Amino acid sequence: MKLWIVLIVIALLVAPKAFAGDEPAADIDERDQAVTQSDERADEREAIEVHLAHHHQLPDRETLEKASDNARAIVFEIARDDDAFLLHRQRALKALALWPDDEVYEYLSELLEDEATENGLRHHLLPVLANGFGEDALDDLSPYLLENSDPQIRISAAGAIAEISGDNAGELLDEALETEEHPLVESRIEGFIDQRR
Amino acid sequence: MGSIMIVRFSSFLVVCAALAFVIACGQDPTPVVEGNDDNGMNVGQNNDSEATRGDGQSCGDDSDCFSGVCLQGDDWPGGHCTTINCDDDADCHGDDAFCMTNPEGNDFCARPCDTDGSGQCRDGYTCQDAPADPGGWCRPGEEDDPDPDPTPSNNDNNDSNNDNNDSNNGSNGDNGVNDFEIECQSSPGQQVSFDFEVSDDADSYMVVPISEGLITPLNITTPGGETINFQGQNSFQAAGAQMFGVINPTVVPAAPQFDYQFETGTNTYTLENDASEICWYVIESQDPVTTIDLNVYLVGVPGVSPDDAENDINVQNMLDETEDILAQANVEVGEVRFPEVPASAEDNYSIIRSEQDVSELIAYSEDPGDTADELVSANVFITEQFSFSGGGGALGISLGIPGAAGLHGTGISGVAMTGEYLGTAGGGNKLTAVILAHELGHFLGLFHTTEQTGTSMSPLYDVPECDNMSNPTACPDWGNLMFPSADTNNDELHPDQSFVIGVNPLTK
Ligand SMILES: [Zn+2]
Repeated sequence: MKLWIVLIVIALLVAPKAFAGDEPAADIDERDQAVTQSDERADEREAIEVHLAHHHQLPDRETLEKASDNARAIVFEIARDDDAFLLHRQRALKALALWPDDEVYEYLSELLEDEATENGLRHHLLPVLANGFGEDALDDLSPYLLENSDPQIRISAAGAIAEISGDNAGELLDEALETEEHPLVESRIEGFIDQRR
Repeated sequence: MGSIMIVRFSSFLVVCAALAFVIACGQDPTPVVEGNDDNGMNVGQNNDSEATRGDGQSCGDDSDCFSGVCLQGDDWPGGHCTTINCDDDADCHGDDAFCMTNPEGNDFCARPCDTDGSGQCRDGYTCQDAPADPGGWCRPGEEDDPDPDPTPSNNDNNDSNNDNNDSNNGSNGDNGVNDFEIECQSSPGQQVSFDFEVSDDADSYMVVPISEGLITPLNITTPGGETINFQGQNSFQAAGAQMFGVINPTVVPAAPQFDYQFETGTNTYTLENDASEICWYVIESQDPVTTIDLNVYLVGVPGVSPDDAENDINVQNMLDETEDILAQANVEVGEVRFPEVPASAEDNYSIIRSEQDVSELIAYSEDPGDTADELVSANVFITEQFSFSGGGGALGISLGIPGAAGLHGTGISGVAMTGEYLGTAGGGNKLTAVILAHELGHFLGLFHTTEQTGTSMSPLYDVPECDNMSNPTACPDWGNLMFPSADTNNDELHPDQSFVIGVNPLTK
């Protein structure tokens, strides 16, 4: 083999090290640190996803925050991630209500109202808003009880509203019972009202 | 295939209770009683000599009725004796009762009357046209009540009755129910013991004590003098009573280390009982077990109906995945039936919003056939969606750890789970299979390897537990089917878990 070929091969082999060696030590640390942080973040997201995917219950806030200091941010990230595994995204949307602040409310209520949102997801969102925000969510929930064309959505809305304590929720259910014409929905609303008593 | 012997049958007793949640019952899901405080029920002819009331007459409890069935609650003023699932008038008990066709559900016996007359019905009842028969019946409600709607329904109940007595009065009596004998004996004191036989051919058995009151299992003593202590080292076997109050399916041996607790011959079950009677049945199993039969109820799952489920690629793919998981325990999925629930039930329960919905839906399970082999099969309800009104979230629910084998038509007769991931991207069919196998695992007697809290009720020695659930994928039991989180990777079974699956008579 020609000597120059050997030299070029050797040069290529050592080049990355040579280039790396040209960088300041601080930059190396930052990059490593960024990679490490990225790995840690991925691990934390994975842990959060596993907790969210419990067979029988949603994790509580303490469990999620024990798994990651960034639990709220990661849950939000999964909830917004259209490419996330469906189960994880659904559970993340539910878990957002563990941090019932304005930002979460705005996101969930807009998602509920978004015409692109499928009814399957709405069945999950209605109880999330009711359980996370109580009476504050009634104005946004009531159209789904009183006006929605899908009987199943009206039942889910009734079930969600029935979980909200206080007179306003009860009066809303009474109003729905008076106006509801679908026998199944009517009977389910009656059942929800009975359970509140 | 190993054999199954159901060794005691005379009547079919169905139970329901409300400790963890309300359970609706019924071989067929009607009639049930709204607002009934009673949390148990007997099925079949009442052999109590104190029974004095015929169908349509008032009653205080089941023991008052010849039929053994007293409908109670606000819808049935003063109580109403009846025979459910009657075929004709001869099935009804007492004089002057007829078998009324019920377009909404099961036929039942009521008191006839002439709608042109008056004063024929007792207080709280008026004579109204029978819905599908000539003449009238004494229906709950006042004259001015336009629609009392008392027809027995399956909604919002925690009690119901079922009729499958020795004389085959009930329509279900033909469905091999004669093969089942549930023995009963009086239970005069708080503590009661009953003897049950285990044949020489058996390798394991399930004994199921059932009561109308709350029970607390204490122990089983074997012919050789061993004690299976449900207050001590076998306390995990009292899970059924803790969940449901009135029933405690008990498999012996429950784990490999308890192999010595299995003995043929006369065993004695001792328990505390709140009612005046205790009933039980026994199902034996012989090695080797190779099969589990499934009754898969598809309830509103989009794009697939029970009729075409056998050809649905996602359903079949999911069942294949389930079989792969169970194959680790040397069990294959045998016969898979796809029965249907009534359209009204599909409307009501395609979206599961509560645990009560689950039990009411499961009560729609039906005897899958006439033979013991057909009866010993697991009911699986796959619904469009699980979305609980009260928040939280469950992907599936098993009614029992273990559940009662061979018992259909009650609110605890199987498992229910979401079908919303069937056919979805990223492994939806596998995830659905994991959920199904996980719930079946519970129904067969498996506990979680570790609970969210880091504790475990599992008695199995060879299944590792996790001591740091904050990092679940690092847990030694991550990957196991009974890890509490659903993941397509969590599909493994350990040998001890396979043992538990194998000794349950549902595998045969
Ligand atoms: Zn589980």
